[in-house]
Amino acid sequence: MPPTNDAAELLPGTLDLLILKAISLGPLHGYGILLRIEQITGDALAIEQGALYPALYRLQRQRLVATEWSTSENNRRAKYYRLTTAGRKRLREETEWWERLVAAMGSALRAKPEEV
Amino acid sequence: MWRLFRRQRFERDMDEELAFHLQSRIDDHLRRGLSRTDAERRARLEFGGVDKYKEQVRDARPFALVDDLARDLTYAWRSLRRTPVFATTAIVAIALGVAVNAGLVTLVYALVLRPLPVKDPGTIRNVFMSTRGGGSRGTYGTPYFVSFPEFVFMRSQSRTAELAAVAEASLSCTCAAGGQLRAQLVSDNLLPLIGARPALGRFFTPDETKTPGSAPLLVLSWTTWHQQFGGAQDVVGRTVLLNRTPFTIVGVADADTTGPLVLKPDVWMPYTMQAITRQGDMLIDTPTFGWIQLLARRRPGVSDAAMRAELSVLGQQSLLPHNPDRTATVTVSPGAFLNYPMIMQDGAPVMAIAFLAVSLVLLLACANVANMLLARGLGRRREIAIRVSIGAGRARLFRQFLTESAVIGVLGGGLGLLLSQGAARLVFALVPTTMMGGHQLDLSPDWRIVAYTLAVSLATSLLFGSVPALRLIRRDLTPALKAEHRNWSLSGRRIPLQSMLVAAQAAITLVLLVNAGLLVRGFDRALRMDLGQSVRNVLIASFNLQQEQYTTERARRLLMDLRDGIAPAAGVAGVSLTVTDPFVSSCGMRARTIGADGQPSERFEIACDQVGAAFFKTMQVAVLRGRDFTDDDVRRGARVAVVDERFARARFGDVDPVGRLVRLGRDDEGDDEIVGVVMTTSELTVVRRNRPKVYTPIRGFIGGKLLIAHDGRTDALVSALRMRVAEVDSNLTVSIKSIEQNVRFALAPIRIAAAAAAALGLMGLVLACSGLYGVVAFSVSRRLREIGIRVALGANRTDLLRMIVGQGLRPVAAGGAIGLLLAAGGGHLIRAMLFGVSPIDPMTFTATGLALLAAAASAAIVPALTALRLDPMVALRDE
Repeated sequence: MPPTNDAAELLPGTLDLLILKAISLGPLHGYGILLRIEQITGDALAIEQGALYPALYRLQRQRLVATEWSTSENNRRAKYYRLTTAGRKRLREETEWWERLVAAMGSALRAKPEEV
Repeated sequence: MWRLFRRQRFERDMDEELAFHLQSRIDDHLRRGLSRTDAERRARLEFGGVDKYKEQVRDARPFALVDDLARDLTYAWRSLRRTPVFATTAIVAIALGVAVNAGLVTLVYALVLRPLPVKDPGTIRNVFMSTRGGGSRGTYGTPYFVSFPEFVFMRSQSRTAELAAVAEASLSCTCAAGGQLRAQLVSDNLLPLIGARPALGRFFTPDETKTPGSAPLLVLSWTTWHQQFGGAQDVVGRTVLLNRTPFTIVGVADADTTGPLVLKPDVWMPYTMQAITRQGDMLIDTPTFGWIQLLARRRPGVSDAAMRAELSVLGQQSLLPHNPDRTATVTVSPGAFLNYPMIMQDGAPVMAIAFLAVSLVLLLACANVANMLLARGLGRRREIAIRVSIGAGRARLFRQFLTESAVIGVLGGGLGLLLSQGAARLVFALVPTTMMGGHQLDLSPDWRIVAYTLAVSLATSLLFGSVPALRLIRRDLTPALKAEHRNWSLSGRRIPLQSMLVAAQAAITLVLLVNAGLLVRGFDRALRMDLGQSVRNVLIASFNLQQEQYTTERARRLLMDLRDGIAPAAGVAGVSLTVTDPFVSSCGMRARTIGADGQPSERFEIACDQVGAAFFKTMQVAVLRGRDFTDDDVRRGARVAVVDERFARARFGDVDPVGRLVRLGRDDEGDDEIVGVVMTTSELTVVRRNRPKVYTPIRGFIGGKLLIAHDGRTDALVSALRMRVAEVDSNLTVSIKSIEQNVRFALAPIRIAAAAAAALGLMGLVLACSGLYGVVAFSVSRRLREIGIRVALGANRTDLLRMIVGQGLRPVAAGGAIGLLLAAGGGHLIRAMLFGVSPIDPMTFTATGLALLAAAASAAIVPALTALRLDPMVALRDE
């Protein structure tokens, strides 16, 4: 879907995290990852779909994901991505970091004048 | 092949993966009821630029670096091929810069670092022992030589290394071709130690090198065997006369053996035969006289430190019997020709200056090529902009620019390596042959030189490549895409980098040129300098009296006879004797003066000379007080001395020294009475020591030389002298040279320095001018439209020319000013070679500065004129 004004711009690094999260539930091919991200973010994050692939190759080079060619649900050859142990570890760390950040930002932004 | 396959598979996989994505998306859209056309359009739009992402994926993949490098290399090669003039100019510039640098390194490497041409040079060590402290000690050659008993002791005691002895001597041979032979005096183990094998016969046995004078045996070098003995198989056992002593040939060394010293020997003989090489000067019998160079083969499992530790102790112990008050200092260095500690120390500053100079040329070449790359890159801005807009990362572009620079660098470096061979040989050609005749310095590049050159070339290309590359990829590229480059000009503040590079080139060129100018002026000054004595119209005749086994008395009679015979000849203004070769060799010792109260002073350094009667008259040295030496002084061996003015002033102030005493020898050898004071004469050596000088009547007639002052007509004189010598002793060899030759010899280092500096300076000038030419040409080509408009509007062409050239010269003038300041600093570094020319000599500075401006102006005028000659309409249409 084309980017819309109310879709958030991606922060650097977030795409990698989203990919890791998407395949943490099981191996997916590139298009599947895209669908999963759209699904879990509720279309709130807009990216050009092509941007997925440089990120996937980068993660592959960092050995955070592993790949294998397999047959897709509609019987076509597709490249599947799955998490490696290092990838799983990275996902855990990044998730914790994000949760801390979000909590901190959230409480900072919710702060009322008398609390400052 | 494998990489290509991998690459193809990678591309195929990537295409398939992306196609799968798009197809799946299209299918989804079709399922939602879109028409096929809409579905495809929508999917593509959502995906974004396929090519852009492919490019990014390629960058992100594994092995990207290797594949990209191959691709960049191909690309760089093609792009250089497309612009052959640029490529050639850049490569030649780098080659010149690298050549002078590698040439210098090749020379230094050959002299002081290159392993010796012997078997297993890795474990060969030079051992240098110097001594300090009380008691008398002399050395013949370098201060690091040891005496016979010292060597025998150290060799017998050392457990860390096998020590061998080597010394050099020149001998006259009565053999087939006759003439002078260079001999290496060696211990029995030297030849086996360096891996020599007898091609015929044998080498020396330990017994034959034990007792002085006992074994007159000879081993021939392969070359001598062939040249002097025609390669005769029965040469072993033959007897030849060396310095009138019969020697028996026992063997011939194999062709690969050329000895461990820089000069190749013709023959080897036991070092115990030393006495026949220097008559009346039995070094071998004097335990306090060092004449043997130590060469060592380190034993397996021993470190240099352990070797040094042991040899220090042994060296100290070896001094105990005869020099108990002296301390030994031992240095162990990897075997090389001329790595004496003294040379390394004294030579380091000279080398540093030379290295600075060649580095400047390299830097200049760098600036030059950087500027060309920048100009070329600016011309390629559209191409760059397009590549960036289709998704090539700036990092990739930067890498590609650097790859191109590296290709230029490596090609230039390769060419430079070839040129450096020529440069090093050229420098050697300037060295007088008497200094290095028959040397075996190896100037060919070995892997170290090649590695060094490659490293320098690559480092250089990083330097000249990254500056323009960074600038080019940093720029905002939008205007380039719009083909809007008319507002690019050298005049504006838009491209200060180009101007800065021109300024840097001007500065470096001036530093080189000014210092070259100073050296040339210094050389000129040295030639004209009043040295306080004759520098022309004197012949110097030397004889091989030592080798012909003359006694002192016989030598005296011969020299006196020759003098009396030649003195009345036509055109002779005076004849005298000396033992030192004027301006070439000198004698030094430590003397005392005796006070009016009879108390001797501390010893101090003096220069000395032993001379004949009427020496000062012959050599035109002014006698200020007292008298010249007389025949009577020389005949009686009178204990008289003449001192120079420097001596008089330093030791006696305003008091008249005539009649006072000076003590030159040991304290029990008596004193000499000063009978005259003469004008101070100057040495021509680069390191002038300004020692006070004492002359005494000649005693060492064996080393005596005739000095003949003449009126310029030498031919008759030379043949008369030769005839006279042949009459007296037909075996005697006389060599006659002019004092002018000696002056040239003494000035050779300065001449070489001046020639090298001038060559570097000119090279710099050519590089800088070609750089400026390129920049101005580029600038006017960018401004053709502007120039065309101006001309069309009726601007005066002369004014336009002035404007373009003026703008081109502005950075030259700025850089030149900086260069003059730096050159003043450089001048101070080479002051020793300037012979009193001021390091900030105004004439040199002005002339050089003007020369640079003139050369730069002509470099700028040519492209400017070309531009102005163009039809304005053509220029306007060009856009």
